[in-house]
Amino acid sequence: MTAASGGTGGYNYGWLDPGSTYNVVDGQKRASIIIDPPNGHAPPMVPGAMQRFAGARARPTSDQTESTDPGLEPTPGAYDDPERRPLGERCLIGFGSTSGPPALPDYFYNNLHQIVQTPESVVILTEMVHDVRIVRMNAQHLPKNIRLWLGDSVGHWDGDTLVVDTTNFTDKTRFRGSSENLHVIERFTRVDDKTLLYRFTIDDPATWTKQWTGEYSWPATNEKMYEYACHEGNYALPNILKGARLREKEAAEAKGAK
Amino acid sequence: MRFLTVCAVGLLVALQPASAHHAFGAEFDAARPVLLKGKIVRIEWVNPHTWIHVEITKADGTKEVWMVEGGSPNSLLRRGANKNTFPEGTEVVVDGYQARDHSWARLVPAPRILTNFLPTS
Repeated sequence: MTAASGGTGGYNYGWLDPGSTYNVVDGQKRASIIIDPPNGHAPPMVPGAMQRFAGARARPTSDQTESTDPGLEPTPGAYDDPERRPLGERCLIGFGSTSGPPALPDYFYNNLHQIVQTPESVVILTEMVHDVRIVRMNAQHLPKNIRLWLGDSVGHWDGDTLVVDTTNFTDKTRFRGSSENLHVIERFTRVDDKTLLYRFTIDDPATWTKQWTGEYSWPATNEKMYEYACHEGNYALPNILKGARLREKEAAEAKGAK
Repeated sequence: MRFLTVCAVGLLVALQPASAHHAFGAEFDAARPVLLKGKIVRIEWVNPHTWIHVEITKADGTKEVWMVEGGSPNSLLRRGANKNTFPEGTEVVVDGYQARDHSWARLVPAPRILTNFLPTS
């Protein structure tokens, strides 16, 4: 953002920790994650998918684009209630699908994942809002009536590649407008000692006209994971709601003055 | 058990426009930049963002404590700063934006807190 006056400017590097490596796959620096369609863009949505959750009952999700102005909020009443704020803003799960699936990078901070492997399960801990996914190996999916915010993940090995299949989502996370029947297939391949290749395929015929696939590299690091107990000092949430009340008051006064 | 820690990020990776953790425009007023000079009286080293309490002396000589929102402790630790980097009494300059709710009037984010977080002595 730019300052109205002076040189205040936007967030500086005291706030940001975007990482220090490029996304390199097959020796190429990649500017796009999506590899299928080959043009690097997600396929079109099916008719009606974009409007599916519109309306008063719609709830913000973890990957909802931030609105910077109460008057521009896409969903009416988005500032009326703390529970109408995005899941990331409420410190419930990471914003921008950082834990996934699919797990996407975040340019702000808290970009680490830790993977813990046992004979029965693989646990993927995401630093952003400490989301944990437990992938049950060689297991069946849960019954369809049991639904989880991050979905139900089961895994198996395809040669040296860990394949994780996730279904049973709720309507709370809704990755980029997906339906509850979103199906995500992730493939983790260790391409060398220091690099995992992470590939994901999005399968949701109720939302997109065809499947689409992305991939990017996860370089190993010796950095420490830090806890992100985000809720305890989340002063921003009451301040955001207070800001919205002030805007409403100002709007009402302006209307009364006319 | 095997442990592997990976950093899932690339500087050139962007699948969608970035979204900040909090609705900046709802919490703060971009039309009200402020420049504060004072001394640190308290640090809250909490997630999702640190809060630095800075006492300033106003033109009429009275004192006022402002709360300054800073980066997350995780980001600051990775940049070599910890809670003891900013002891009480440290003279600082904060370049930021005032809270939208001016009646509260004690909150600014400090987008340049580290570059300006220099002792004036």
